[in-house]
Amino acid sequence: MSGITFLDGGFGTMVQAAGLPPGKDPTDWNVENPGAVAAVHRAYVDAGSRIVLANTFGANRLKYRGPHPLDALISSAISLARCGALVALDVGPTGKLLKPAGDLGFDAAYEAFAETVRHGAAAGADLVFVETMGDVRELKAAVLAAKLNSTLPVFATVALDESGKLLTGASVECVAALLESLGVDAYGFNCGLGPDRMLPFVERLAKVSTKPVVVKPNAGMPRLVDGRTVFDVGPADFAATAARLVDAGASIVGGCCGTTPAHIKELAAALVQGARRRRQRSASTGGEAAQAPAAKPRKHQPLTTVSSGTSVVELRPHQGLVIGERINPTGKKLLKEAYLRGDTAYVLREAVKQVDAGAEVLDVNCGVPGIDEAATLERTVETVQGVVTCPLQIDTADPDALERALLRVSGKPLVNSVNGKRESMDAVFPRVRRYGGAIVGLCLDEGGIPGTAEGRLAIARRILDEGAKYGFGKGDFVFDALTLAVSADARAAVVTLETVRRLTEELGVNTVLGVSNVSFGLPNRPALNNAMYALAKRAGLSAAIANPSLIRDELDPAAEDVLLARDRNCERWIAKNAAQAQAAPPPPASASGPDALGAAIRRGLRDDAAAAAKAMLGSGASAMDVVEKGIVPALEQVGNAFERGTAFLPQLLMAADAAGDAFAVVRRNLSSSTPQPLNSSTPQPVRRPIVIATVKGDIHDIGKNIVRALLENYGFDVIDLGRDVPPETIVERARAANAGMIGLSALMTTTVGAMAETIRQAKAAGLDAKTCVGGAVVTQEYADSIGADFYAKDAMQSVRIAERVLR
Amino acid sequence: MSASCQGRKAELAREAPAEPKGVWARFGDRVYLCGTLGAAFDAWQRRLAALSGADAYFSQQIGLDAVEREMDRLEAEARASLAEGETLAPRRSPGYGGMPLSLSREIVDRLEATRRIGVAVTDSDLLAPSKSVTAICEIGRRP
Repeated sequence: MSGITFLDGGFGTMVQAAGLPPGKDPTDWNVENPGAVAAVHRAYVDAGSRIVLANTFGANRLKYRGPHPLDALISSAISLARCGALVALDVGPTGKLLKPAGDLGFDAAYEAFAETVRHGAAAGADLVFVETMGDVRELKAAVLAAKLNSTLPVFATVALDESGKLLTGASVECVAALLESLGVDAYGFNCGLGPDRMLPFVERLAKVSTKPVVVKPNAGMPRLVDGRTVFDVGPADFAATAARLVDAGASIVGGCCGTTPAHIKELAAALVQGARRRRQRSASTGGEAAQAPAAKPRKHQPLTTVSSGTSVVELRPHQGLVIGERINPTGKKLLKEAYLRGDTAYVLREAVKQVDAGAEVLDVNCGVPGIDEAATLERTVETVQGVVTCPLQIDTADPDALERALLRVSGKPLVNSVNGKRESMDAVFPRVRRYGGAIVGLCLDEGGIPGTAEGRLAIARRILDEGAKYGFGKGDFVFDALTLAVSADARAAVVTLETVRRLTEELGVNTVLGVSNVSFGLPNRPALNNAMYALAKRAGLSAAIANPSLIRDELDPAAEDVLLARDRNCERWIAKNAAQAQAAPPPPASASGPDALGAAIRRGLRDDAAAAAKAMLGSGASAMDVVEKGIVPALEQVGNAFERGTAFLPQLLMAADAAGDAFAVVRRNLSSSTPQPLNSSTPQPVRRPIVIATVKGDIHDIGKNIVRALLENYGFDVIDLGRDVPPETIVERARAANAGMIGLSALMTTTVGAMAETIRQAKAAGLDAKTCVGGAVVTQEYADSIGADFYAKDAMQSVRIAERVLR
Repeated sequence: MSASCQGRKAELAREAPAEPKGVWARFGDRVYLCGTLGAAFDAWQRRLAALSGADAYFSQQIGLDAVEREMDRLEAEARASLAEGETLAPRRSPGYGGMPLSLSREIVDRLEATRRIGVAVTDSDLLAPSKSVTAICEIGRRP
């Protein structure tokens, strides 16, 4: 039977049959009952297995809780498995959930896997077999740990549910994008499903995989019967169905839970028989060789894929998908400050708004002078991927920041960017090779940006050639043809568009542009940007880095004239648009009073509140008037009604959301009309910020988020540090921001201790910030006992306390 | 709750990622149960909370309702499996009514809930994803 490699079957099933007591960790038997472990392996080898998985599934420091040292367990496991087949170090999941779903940090997961891999490699394992992974991030941690801590081949399999997804929601294609990019040697599925239900997913995988497809199905679906898991599919049925997986493209085949040496033996026999039948048939018909099992469905590699923890995006020419550009501090004062203060709320809002506006990938850039870019980028990537499901584009020129972000990002990101400079290629290529990713290639080098399409293509070719040395192909790149301002060079857009067209047609690669540079220095930039986007898409543009709320495929003929150098010095454009800007109509005067604004806020109508605030400003009211006559009295009324019990929390929160939108209008107005707003994030007089966090160990943050929203919408400056935040971080951030108040939330009795510790550290550090605590199990008595200055029984009370402390 | 609040909550309930999962099994005279809305629900909630406190609040109610419905379903399944003459006491969850929070780990381990439905116990004995519930029902006998 050529071309098929047989794995082993279930291990737990066999040791249970050999007398492993319920609840006992089979890992212990490597030391306590080595004979039984060796017997299982021998039975599989006798049945035809050519690779056996050592009994190390649970041998990692996060999962194993038994009495034996890990190195002894693993080295014993490897030698017990050595009985005539290749021995794989079996790497199973940690049994914990990674952030953001759970509390396990990526680094801790990686370290645990790395330790297991090092022991396995030292003990002489022939390969590493990562299996039963249910989370793409944990899978990435395990595969990277295997690749970076050994030179062994790495196989990886994931457990699908009946819908063909991982427990955390990733699709087959999403797993494939990541594992192809990490360069594993073979991958596929194990556990979760029986062979029949695995079939459609094997067919899908075979279409996208360039590596051998691995399958280890269960013996049917598990049933728990009085505490024991039972499987119903016997060896003959298993073999018959599993053989169809081979027809669908699998070539490394075994079994998982419920399968036994008998299953593997039958499977091998069925495949050999099937192959013989096919050979006979092809001999008698004079050639149906194409039907032999080795002939898998034809593989095609999608041009370029990027992925997140749950979704995959394919880039194609002429697609013009939008990469959201807003998480980039260049020219954004508020984002800069949010980074410097460690505030996550601002970034989250930008992320969600862009996705809602249609961005399919988000650019993440943390380049602020004087900032610890690597730490900030790492934190921002983790924060953003906790709320949005789209792939990310890691945007940094700092190799260290790139490396740390690549390690922690879920899935396969876009890397922005490499260019034709030797230094850039030497820094970027090895890192992306190691951690996975698709690469944006900028068509510039030591000589700058060539003025011709020919020059830019030459650089793209050089980048491709150099990338090929690291194993990168055309599909691993997206080339940026580079957009320059037409106000500086009338032919700038013409060259860019020609570059896009030729990259697409001659090189057969995907392209990207940051379109908005084109309109720099000219009036009515959106129309020019849209025209550039429209023309570039026709020329072949695969993706645009742009503001998804503004960019549209819209070609204004006058803008086209500018971009195609038919409007000398942009004279007609400037004349037309400058005149229009001056003749802008006055804002509508309807519903402009503070009463209309107040009513909109009280009723929780966000759009109406924003419109009313805009109208007030338009009819001459000052920013202070809008706040003091419109927003504050309305919030006051709703707050009072809540405290009297005549309004309820949802109404209060909806009113606060509406007030927040009105505040945002005022803020925008302030920042565009006066050189320096009174305070970066509120129109109130300068006031010390509030640092707010859910304490260490606690991952429930909805209560904290509600309090944050309310405080912000009442005009306070809030720095949200997120959840599961260590005491030291809270103290350090509060000190750095000169916080006037620290708000702490904890939900469970097991985490209030971290609250006490945070307060202790804040006091020990000499902070004068007042502390305010709240959360489901927190009481006034408890707050007093841990020395908190205030206890807030609900979100509104935290506003009242903040008013007392900070006003 | 006002009409607009109800309306918004209903709207969110329709868009909530709703794929509850659950497992239960009998161990002697006890039934262990575990249900979850999964990681997607948490991500959806965090996403809402980024833009609106009210939506965060509504999503919380929606999540609690949905996970309790899943637990009801599991409990009903377990009840239907009882032998003649056996009764099932209403479920009780760790952290409530004197049942220690740390019992969650035993329930999750014995049900293999991490592998089967993606529920894990954190170092501080919380369940992750956050909209997850563990429970135990005692089996009794009719006199």
